[in-house]
Amino acid sequence: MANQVEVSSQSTVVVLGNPNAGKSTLFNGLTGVKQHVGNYPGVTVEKRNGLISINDEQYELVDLPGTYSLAPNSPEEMLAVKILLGKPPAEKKPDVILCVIDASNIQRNLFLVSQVLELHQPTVVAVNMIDVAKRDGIEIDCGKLQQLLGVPVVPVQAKRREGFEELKQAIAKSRNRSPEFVHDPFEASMKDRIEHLEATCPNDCELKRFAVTRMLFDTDGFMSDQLKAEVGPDTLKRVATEKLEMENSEGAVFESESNARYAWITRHRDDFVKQTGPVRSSSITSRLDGWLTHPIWGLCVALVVVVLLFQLVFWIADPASTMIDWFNGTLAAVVNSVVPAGTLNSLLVDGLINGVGSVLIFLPQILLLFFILALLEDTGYLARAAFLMDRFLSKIGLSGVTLFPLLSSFACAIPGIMATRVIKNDRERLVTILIAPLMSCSARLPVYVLLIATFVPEKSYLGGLLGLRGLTMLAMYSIGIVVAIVVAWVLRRTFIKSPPTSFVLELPSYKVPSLRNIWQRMFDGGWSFIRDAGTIIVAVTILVWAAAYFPRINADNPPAELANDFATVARLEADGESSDELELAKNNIAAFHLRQSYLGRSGKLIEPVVKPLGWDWRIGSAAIASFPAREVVVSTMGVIFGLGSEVDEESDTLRGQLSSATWEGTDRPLFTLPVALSLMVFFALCAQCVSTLAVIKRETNSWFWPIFSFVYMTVFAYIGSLVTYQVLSRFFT
Amino acid sequence: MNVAQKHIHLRDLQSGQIAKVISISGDPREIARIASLGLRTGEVISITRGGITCIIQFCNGTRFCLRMSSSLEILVEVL
Repeated sequence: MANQVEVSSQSTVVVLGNPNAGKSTLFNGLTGVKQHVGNYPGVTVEKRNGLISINDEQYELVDLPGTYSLAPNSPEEMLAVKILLGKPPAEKKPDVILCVIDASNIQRNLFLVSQVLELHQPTVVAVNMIDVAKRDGIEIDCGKLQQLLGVPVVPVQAKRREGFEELKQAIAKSRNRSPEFVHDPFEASMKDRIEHLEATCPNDCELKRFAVTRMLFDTDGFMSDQLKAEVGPDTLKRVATEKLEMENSEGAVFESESNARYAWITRHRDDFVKQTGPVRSSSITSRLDGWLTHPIWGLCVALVVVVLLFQLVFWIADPASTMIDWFNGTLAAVVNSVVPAGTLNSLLVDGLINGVGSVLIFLPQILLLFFILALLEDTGYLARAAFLMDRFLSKIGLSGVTLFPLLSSFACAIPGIMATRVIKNDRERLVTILIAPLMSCSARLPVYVLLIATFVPEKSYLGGLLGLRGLTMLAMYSIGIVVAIVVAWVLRRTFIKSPPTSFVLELPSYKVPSLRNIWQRMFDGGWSFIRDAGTIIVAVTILVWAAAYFPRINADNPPAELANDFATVARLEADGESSDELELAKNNIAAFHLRQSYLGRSGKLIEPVVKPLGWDWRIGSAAIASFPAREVVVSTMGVIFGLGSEVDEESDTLRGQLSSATWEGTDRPLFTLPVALSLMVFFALCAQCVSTLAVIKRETNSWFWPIFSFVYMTVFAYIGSLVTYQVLSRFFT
Repeated sequence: MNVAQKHIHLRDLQSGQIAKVISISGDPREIARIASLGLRTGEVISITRGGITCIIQFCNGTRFCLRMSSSLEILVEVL
């Protein structure tokens, strides 16, 4: 479990760097287990902070989202800039900025450092992946780089935890020390322009140089918005005038910043970079990419990876269920031996233990999925798979990175939704979250198996190659995919539209993954699920338990139709006998309880609404009971049809009972092929999983989106079910 | 050959072609974004995979996958 970090008035060090520069490896290496993962208040961006001890003093280390530039493009990058500036949600300016740069790609990484230095705040630069650079024939002279930048530069190998002590000492020494000189990468005319604007800033403005530079190259008003309070209206107006002048005279203003900074880097490159051997740049990467990004072979490999991922998550569901059953059974036995039968016993066993089990049952899948995704990302493969799938997914307004979350959702929507964290575009991520529950997860399988085996005839075609039952199953999986494509297409063109933006993704060099990073990612994913979604799941499970439990029948004065059953139970239990007769009597009582419970009454209340779907109140009650978790529908049907809750989808008794069930008061069969298909379509499209809704709430940090998902999926499910029943009942009875 | 013929859109480059970026125009945010990644006027690039979503490689070996929106136009000169 992540250690809760006590954040007090100690110095704060923010860790900043390009994606793939090894920032998280360095953060994990420095903090070890003394780290905590949470959310910044009011935003969905994850906050990772930890403690390090330097010379017996505690420092809080904050891992900022990876960014290529301080001209932010995504909410994550905007947050990184706000924290650098000490704006909310940060409580104060950081005491030290730790810039992590990749030695093997030093020019691009220095672009960000060049922007950070304009803050003129205490800064330390950690040059990571020195070994990779050396392998590529590049040697970095950190002393010369330090002279150029005016701040401490420390070589490190984060993966091997080398150079950490020197880095810590550099952080401690820099705490109250600003850079040695004002950073100035611009040529004369731009420099004049910036200095002229600087002079217009109020005297108490601490970030004059940084503020005017960032505002001058601001492309969307974000930086002006953040810094207007510091610079005042006069400077703001002058910056706008200067920008207009630059646009008229110099053309591509927004390229001029990068041109100036890259020119500065190129001018000084030879001072601190030495080419020590032949350039072997990315020879392994080139060779692997030849296969892994190939339009045919690449797709084959991606398919194998995807099938393996899906199978692993799918396979683990079974042993996990067995494990949780054992856990529930053991706990229930303990409770039964201590707490006598009654309301408290039922609350603990059927409500609380069942609720906790509902949380834990997803945990092994979530841990495994995060393990695989972290492994794929750390090796560099995930970016290649995203490239391959982009051409297909871009047609519905998504990008290649949405592939893995969507596929994971076939096993379980919860890890699938949590895996959307790999998607950088906020709106694209939201659409993926909203369509992920439409993928048929493993919990829908028991419903399909039960109803297909009971009502779909065993016919085969093409010499036994295709079977009607198999095709029905395929149709149920396909219906979710088709609806997901339509929903994504519509949402990306209407409510969750975003201006056309280019899809840019760095393809990092392939590397051996860091087990520490993978372990940390897996652990963070599991912990955030238990902490944020778990509480909601347990609460809702208890609510549904109460709806199915109350009101209770008075056992001393049972209704006339149950008098015999109560008498049988009392007689046989007193004799200590366990027989079919006792089970039958108990099941009859349980079925009666459920019928007259609030849940059963709700089923009767909604009967007029579900009748057009071909359902009676019993199927309606089972559907309502399965809203918290669709997998309970089979056991609920077992209770409703008087077989107890221990039945499963393979139960011949339940299948027989469903086949022979009739509409109450008539001999008209209740379950027909159209009814079974209508029920399956409802289950394929409906959002019957409180855990999924809880995770949507957690990932979007809003109640609106889980409600939206619930409403749109329920409406689709109802319409789909209605159309299925009304059309098929014309042809089948 | 005149200039118009010599300069083509980046999206028209085929796998294996090497080109120099001649101009980048369109949405300022997009220009600033790709420029911070190193894709700037004057940069020499090679295409390791062509297509709507392509893979671009810089001289230092860094690779990006890029699908350009309609709000971005990059003209290149094939070398």
